[in-house]
Amino acid sequence: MTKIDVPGQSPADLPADADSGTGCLRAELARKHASAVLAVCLANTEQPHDAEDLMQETFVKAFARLNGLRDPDKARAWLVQIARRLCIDHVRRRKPASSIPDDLPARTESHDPRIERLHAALARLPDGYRETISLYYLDGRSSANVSATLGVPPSTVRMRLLRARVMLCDLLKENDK
Amino acid sequence: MNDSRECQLRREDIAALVLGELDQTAAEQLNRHMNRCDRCRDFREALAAQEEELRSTFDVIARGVGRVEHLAERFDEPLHRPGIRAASPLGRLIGGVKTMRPSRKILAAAAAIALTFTGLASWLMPGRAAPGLAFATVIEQIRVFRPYSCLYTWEYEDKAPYSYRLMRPDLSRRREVRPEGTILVSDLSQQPNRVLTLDPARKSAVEKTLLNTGPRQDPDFLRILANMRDGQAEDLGVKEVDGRPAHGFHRPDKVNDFTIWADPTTGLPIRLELVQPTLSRRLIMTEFEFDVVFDESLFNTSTPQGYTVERVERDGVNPTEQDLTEGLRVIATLCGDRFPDALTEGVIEKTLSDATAGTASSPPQTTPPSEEETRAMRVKARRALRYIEILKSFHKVDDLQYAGNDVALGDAAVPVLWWKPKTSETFRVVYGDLSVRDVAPTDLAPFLNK
Repeated sequence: MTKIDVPGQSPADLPADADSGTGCLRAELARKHASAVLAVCLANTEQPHDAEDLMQETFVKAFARLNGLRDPDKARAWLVQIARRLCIDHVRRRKPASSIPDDLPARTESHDPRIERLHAALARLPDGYRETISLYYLDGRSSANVSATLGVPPSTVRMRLLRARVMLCDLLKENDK
Repeated sequence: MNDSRECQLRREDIAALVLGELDQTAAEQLNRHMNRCDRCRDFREALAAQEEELRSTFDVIARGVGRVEHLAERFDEPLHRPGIRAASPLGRLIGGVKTMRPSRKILAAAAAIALTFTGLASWLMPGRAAPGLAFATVIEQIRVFRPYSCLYTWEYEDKAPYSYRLMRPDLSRRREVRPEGTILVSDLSQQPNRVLTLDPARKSAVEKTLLNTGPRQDPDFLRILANMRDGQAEDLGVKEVDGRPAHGFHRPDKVNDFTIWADPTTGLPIRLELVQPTLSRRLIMTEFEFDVVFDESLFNTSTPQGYTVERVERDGVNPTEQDLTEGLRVIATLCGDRFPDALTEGVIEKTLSDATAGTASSPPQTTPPSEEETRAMRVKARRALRYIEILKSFHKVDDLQYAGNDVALGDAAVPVLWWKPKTSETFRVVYGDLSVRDVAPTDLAPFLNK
């Protein structure tokens, strides 16, 4: 077991099995990757209000299994993978996410009509496009970030993003009618 | 040229242009096409208009990220940390009062037990260093509004500090729990705005309606700090603040001098200090709780049953300098085109009363003003007095003096009213012709204390 006592060192750079550094690592994981996980959950749920719960469930699972993260550089891919699996399970079970501590703040804007409208339009985009556009808007509006998160070539991300944006424009206009 | 198929093919390029994903050469070429193609230009405008709404909607969704940061905090929390609210993670997870759902208590307890041990190990580790925190991270945390409560303390030069508990569910509503036991609920989302003051001890309430107001936002200093554009923040490093390690940043501008102390890990504010030199006051916000789930009933501006109610109506729009000169014109006109010896409610009522009775000295009234005209004149005159009151009590201007006694309305050489704004080298002076000028003290000297 490695003893960590390196002032100033980025927690994300520390070995994941150094349990004395896991507190910092958790906070760092949350700070760096929560937006991306939320985007993936938003793209893969049937109800927009489930996305936040699934994001939290993802981190509850991840925090409890930090030893499973061998390479901190792959933390985002690892979290996205957990999030996707939880979303699939959730859609299969069609029941709310279940392992979220209860004293955490409740959902942000569960009945905001703009969110409902946006999610309804997102849901009609093809697979792959939903995650791309959600990640783009929720995680810094950078197609390079999306490419790194999804492990997809930048040209593919750009193509999906632009097509998704045009489709979204039509779908939102259609909803307005 | 406006071939629809060609335009259809350009739609993705237009999306790239709007998203800033198109290189310069392609953008120039596309712009040339759009100069002659209404269809493509319309599509670009539709996309651009939609883009703003899309971003703001995703920004609202992004607020949910805060929930994971809370989760990380729970996992990090030790059983006891000196100087911090001594609630164990187990207790916090099992005994939370705001959003606890009983069905999840068992899972929460299991998670809490596991987390307590890892969190404790983390905190007991010697030489633990706070991770570096960027000012941008703090701003990112407060850029999007989060429902919060905090202790709000005003400190003044000339009176004792005043503290109350503030609750903000959104940018238009607030609830203040005052030290004397009263509660203020303000709702600026309504038209007109409404403010309810409750005195639970006396079971009395004042329902105030702010006339001439519509839905608007109540100033929020966290947001004002987040939206400051110019200048740099000074990094104050990490120190213990309010019993917790905190990373500080100093961010001044001409009006607001901010110092914010934030949690080194999450970037969430722990303490905000705001100095407003022009108003001679300092605000300290502490004991923050973010992403609070408030009960909507806390922000109801209707009086609860069992209270006696006083209903009042006030002009909800603060008067301006223009209102001051307009009111002075009304008062001087009622006094026969000369300014009265004093500016008081009594003087206004007497001159109005004389005018309606047809006994005003001048100008000669063939017919007295109607009731409606009198009411309008009263409103204007009172707004002038209200402006002077705000100068005195809120802006705390120096050397406010009225010297209009018998000065003729229209006399551009004689000042009738002046004051010296805080931190200003010059006086603001209203002359008999109701012009308002900035005047050096030496130029005003002949009239001072006359």
